[in-house]
Amino acid sequence: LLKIKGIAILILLTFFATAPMYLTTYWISLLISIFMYACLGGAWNILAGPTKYISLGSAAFFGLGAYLTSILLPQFPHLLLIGIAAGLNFLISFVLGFVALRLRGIYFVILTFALGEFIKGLFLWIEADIVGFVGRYIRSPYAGPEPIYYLLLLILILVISVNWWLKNSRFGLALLSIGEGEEKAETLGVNTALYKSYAFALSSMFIGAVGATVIVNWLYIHPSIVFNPLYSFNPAIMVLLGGMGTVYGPIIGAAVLGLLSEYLLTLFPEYYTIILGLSLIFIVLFLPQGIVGALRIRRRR
Amino acid sequence: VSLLVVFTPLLFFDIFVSGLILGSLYSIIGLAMNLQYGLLRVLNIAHGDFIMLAAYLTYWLFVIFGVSPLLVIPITLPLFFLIGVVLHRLAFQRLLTSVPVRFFEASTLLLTFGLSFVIQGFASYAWTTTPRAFSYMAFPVNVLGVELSANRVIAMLGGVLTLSAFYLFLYLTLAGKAARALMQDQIGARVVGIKLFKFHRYFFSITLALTAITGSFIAPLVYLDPFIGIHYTIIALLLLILGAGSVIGCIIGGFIIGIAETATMFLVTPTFRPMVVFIILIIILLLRPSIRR
Repeated sequence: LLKIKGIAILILLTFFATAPMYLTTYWISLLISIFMYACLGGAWNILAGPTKYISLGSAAFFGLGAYLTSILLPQFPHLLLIGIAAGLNFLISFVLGFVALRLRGIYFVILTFALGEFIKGLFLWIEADIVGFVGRYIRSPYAGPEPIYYLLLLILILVISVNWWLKNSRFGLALLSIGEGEEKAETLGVNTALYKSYAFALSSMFIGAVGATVIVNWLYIHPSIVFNPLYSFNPAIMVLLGGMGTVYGPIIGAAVLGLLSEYLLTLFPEYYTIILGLSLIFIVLFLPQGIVGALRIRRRR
Repeated sequence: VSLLVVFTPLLFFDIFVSGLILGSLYSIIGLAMNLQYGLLRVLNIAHGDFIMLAAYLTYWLFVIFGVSPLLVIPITLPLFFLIGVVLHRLAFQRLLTSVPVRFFEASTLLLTFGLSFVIQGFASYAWTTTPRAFSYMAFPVNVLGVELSANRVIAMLGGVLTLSAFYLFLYLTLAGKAARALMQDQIGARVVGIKLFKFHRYFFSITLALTAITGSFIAPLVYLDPFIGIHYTIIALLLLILGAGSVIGCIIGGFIIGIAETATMFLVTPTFRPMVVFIILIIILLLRPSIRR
């Protein structure tokens, strides 16, 4: 079984690595958006999967990465900026984690959501009242979307590897023990505050890197676009659909919802949010374990 | 969301009075949220969207049929109560019976996120995303030396009236007392013989009816668009934390936020206004030790 899995992964990898050679630009841009959400979902899953801390502030880190890149892009190479965005987000959220992750359950959810909206307001205010203009145009350093595609593929592979590593390491087990019972984990000698902060920082690091990567493809940046709360909700919804705390759940969720959104947006743009909302309600009521979880339960029977 | 009325003299008293007007509406919003969470363990992210929906209905009935916003309330109130009963039957009751207790709150959070998208999508479809406003009783009246538009005075009076009626209901009737008991200590209250499940549906519907009232009072005061709901949801969440299950705490908190928001708008800059709530929320979340669990 392990061999089949390995061959399947190899085939998929070669397919995605060579895809720009024979797929049209439409499919490449669709794959870019699916990869983006798979990366965001996988990154979100690093904290939420094992520890059950649900963050709705991903948009803040996504937007920070995007803004940093858009401001510094004329002077610095894009790759360096992605690295800086990732590093900066890691540091910020590592420090923030010690404060924010003391809150549990819904209070953490509310705090992260408030932080996201606060940073959006802060950027809108700075741009409108201090800089004097809101929104900037960006000149892409690349001729086509292919470099973005490969960068996202690389980040996705990294995110998947981290998620897989969490399943098979002391660090991941420590996080899992926090999710199962924080007091018990602490009694057993797990430094919960430190581990939670590390997971939060890792998660935001990837989210920031994704923001720094995709913004080059968008050509225009505005605080309401990059700090849109949808970048907080969508990854969470996709992971919940795919299966929280699983390695492949985020990818499956991103692929299903990504294709569905594309289909809906082209056919019925006016019903898009309604159907997105209904699918979320459906997931909560009928698929509480996600697709991967539901499959697993069926296999066990 | 900017308020239509701009005051001429920059007086603290002005700020205080218009802060109280906002505050009285915020208190109702917060009270409904406190009931939903404290009593039902439902964390309703769609709370503000229901207010938005009620405000749009008010706008719509006024512009098309010429129904006065005050007369809209007898229409929207039972309608929202009914929506609450149906929603509870279709979704929340299923969650109550199928989801383990420790996941119930998180599930309601996600469910109402979905609900919020549905309502926003519906409003965008039905009324488009163009901001809308209508003028109803916008003539100025003099209250205690402050020039206020009549619709704001009515909103204030309506807010205070609703608050007092609800307050009396909570403190004088048996159902209200049971509700407060459930809010303070759910297990204790159930031991004494208060039936949680019976209360669950009716109180969910009552809180939706409260959003109908708030929406109708807010409608003439703001520019309506399908996304204003999020602001009220945030205020509700803030009051949930400020109030922490106490009715009085929630009412006082509502007035404090109303005044803080108005003060920032006049003294700092209107673009900074949406941030005030978040700053208060973040500070309180980080400083209050009792809610860290």
